Amino acid sequence: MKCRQIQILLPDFIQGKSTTEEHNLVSGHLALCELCNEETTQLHKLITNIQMLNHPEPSRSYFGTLLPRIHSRIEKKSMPFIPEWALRFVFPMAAALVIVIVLSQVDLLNGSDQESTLNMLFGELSSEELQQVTDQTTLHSEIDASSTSDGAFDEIDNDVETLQVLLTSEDRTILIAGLDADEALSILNEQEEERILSVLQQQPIFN
Amino acid sequence: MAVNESTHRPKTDLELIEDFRRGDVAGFNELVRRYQEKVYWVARRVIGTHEDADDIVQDVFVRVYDALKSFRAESGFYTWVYRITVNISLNALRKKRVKDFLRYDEMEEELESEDMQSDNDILKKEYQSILAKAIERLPAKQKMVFMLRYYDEMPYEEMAKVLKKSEGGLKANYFHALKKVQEYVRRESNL
Repeated sequence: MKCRQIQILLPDFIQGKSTTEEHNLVSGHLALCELCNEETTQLHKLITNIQMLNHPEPSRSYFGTLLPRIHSRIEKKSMPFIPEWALRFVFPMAAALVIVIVLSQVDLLNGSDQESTLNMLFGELSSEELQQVTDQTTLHSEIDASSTSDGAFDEIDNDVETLQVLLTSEDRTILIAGLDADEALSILNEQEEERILSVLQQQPIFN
Repeated sequence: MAVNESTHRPKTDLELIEDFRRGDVAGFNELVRRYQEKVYWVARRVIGTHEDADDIVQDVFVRVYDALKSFRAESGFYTWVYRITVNISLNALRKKRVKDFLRYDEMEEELESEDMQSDNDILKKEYQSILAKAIERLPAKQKMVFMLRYYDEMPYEEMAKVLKKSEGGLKANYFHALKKVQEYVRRESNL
């Protein structure tokens, strides 16, 4: 056998753990090989030194208390596991998320209330009446934004009065009073806005 | 110790497993008592400290408890427990090495600040420290082979079942583990 194959068997040979066959093989080889003899001496020294490395024994009571601790760990494991990071971050974040959702729902409800009010209001108006409402509310907001003269406000006030008369005659005064210009504007599409603006620009107050 | 009442002999592992499967937790308890020291020492030699070994032992038996009902007895119970111990110990060892690597400087300072002792004691202690470090630094699987063979004197046949390697490969691993320790000691102690 080659030295490499014999050397693999050396640790067990040194520790007396070889099979009879292996023991005979190694002994026969060592009788002839100086290199493997030297290797055996070195390994023997190392193995003896390792034997002197001791791990301190655990306390006497250690093994007596191990079983209850194992059962305690089994019980803990059977409970739903909530990692510490979850307690620290996920739950506060989830709580914040719930609050945001609840608040947004409240806001949506308010929004839908406004929408239903508008629908209720404008759904019952004829197209001509609706046009009048949108013209007036747009006009009102445009005037607000451009801070024009008192004369302009007079004209607007006249138009609003006309509108109120119109609505009173249709018995809707209470509903329209609850709307401001922004709410009314929200029902306009861009085309309508452009058309209204062009009409307004032809009026003397913008010249 | 759990005994078989009809023959007054200690119950075999398989009988205890059967007891446990029928709902008798005493079967499991007896298995723990029977193997806790062996499991502890495998873990302790691999991981080094008592605290870490204690943690591993508990993990091993929790795993055994969970899996015992599905244990198929293809290998002996102890071989199976050994395999679980080896896997958990290797994982713990890998994690510990990362941790130790991060606190390496701290450890160096601790060693430097040791009390003054006689020259002989210091040399002996230093040699043992190098030797222990050499074993500790062995690649995880090679270290496991070394521990099972050197300390537990486990036969290669059983080791092959536990580690799922050939007997020839294990013999070579054991030899190379010792050679690696020898090389490290020689290099570090300038011998």
